[in-house]
Amino acid sequence: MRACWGCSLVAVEKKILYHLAEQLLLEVDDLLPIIEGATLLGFATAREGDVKITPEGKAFAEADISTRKLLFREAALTRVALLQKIMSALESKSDHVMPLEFFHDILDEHFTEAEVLKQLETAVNWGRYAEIFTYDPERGTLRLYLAYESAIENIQDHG
Amino acid sequence: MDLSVEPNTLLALLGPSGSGKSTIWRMLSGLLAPSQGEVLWHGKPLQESHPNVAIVFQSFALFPWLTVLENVETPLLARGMAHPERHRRALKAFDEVGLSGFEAAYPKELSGGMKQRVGFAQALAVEPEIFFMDVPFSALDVLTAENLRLELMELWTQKKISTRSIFLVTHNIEEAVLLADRIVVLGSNPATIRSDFRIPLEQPRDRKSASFLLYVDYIYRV
Repeated sequence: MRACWGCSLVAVEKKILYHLAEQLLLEVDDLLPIIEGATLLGFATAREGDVKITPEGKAFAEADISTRKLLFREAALTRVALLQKIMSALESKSDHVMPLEFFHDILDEHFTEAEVLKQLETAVNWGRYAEIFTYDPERGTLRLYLAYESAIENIQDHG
Repeated sequence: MDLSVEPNTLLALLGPSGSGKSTIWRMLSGLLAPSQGEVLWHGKPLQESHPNVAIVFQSFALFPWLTVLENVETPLLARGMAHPERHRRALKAFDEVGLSGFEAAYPKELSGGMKQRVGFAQALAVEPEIFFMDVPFSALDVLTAENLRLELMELWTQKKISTRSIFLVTHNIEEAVLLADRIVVLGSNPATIRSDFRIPLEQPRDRKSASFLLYVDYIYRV
């Protein structure tokens, strides 16, 4: 899961990476996306070759299930340009629905196909978890989560 | 062998392969009939009462052609629950395990940890009186497994789940000491109990604390 939307690639000293990976019983290759994601969201900083947790990161780690989601959502909307763009696009449409393909075409102009697919996969995962939108893989559409939630409530009220 | 599970307890059943862990929990949940002896639920034989139990397995058995929310609704549908109530219960369980946002996703889009959360949501939606878990974290990587253990503990200690007792089958000694109120250690000779004791430590428990390590050490020596 690569999460590099125009951020500079994290440069952490090799020995620190290996040490961390060892402690967490992870492969370094599996650890890297986690560090990238965490720094992108402002939960960690990578400076002078070392990686450190931030106060926001600590709050995230110690929060309960629902608070963690809120903190993640806040961080994602503040710091991830692609998710901001998707959210505004969905908000501005009257039906709050957009095809994922639309964003694929935008990214296509700047990145390779493989890179675009990876970024979209991550964006969809993060956007879903942050309850920014739902994604229907059958239709290939994103829908603003608030719009989805009220539709669900309508179904429940009217059976 | 005599074993009773009390309410408001998380009981961990620890034992090596061949100790009969699987057989025991299957008999307690009603999946398997005992060849000798009996299983009682609130004092009555299991076959006469129809206890509300839910089971979470090691591997996620989700229907790939249904969305994850539909998968959570399935056990409720199987129990004959009608649409609005079924949907409401499924959504509630979904939300409690942190899956909101993934309603329209299909199982193949989810990571192992998320899929196991669907398994938990399925079980919670049923609002069981007793919740059986068969090595539920063993197919997950260390980090994800630990996250899920802590989330389970959160749901349990904050009484966000209606379940009165949890019966956890595990191979992992540290996991048992981390989660359980009571631990039953089975011997390699099937159906023998080596040790049965309570852990009075408060939640959340610190894996590095002296008391934690003492319990772990004790179990290794039993």
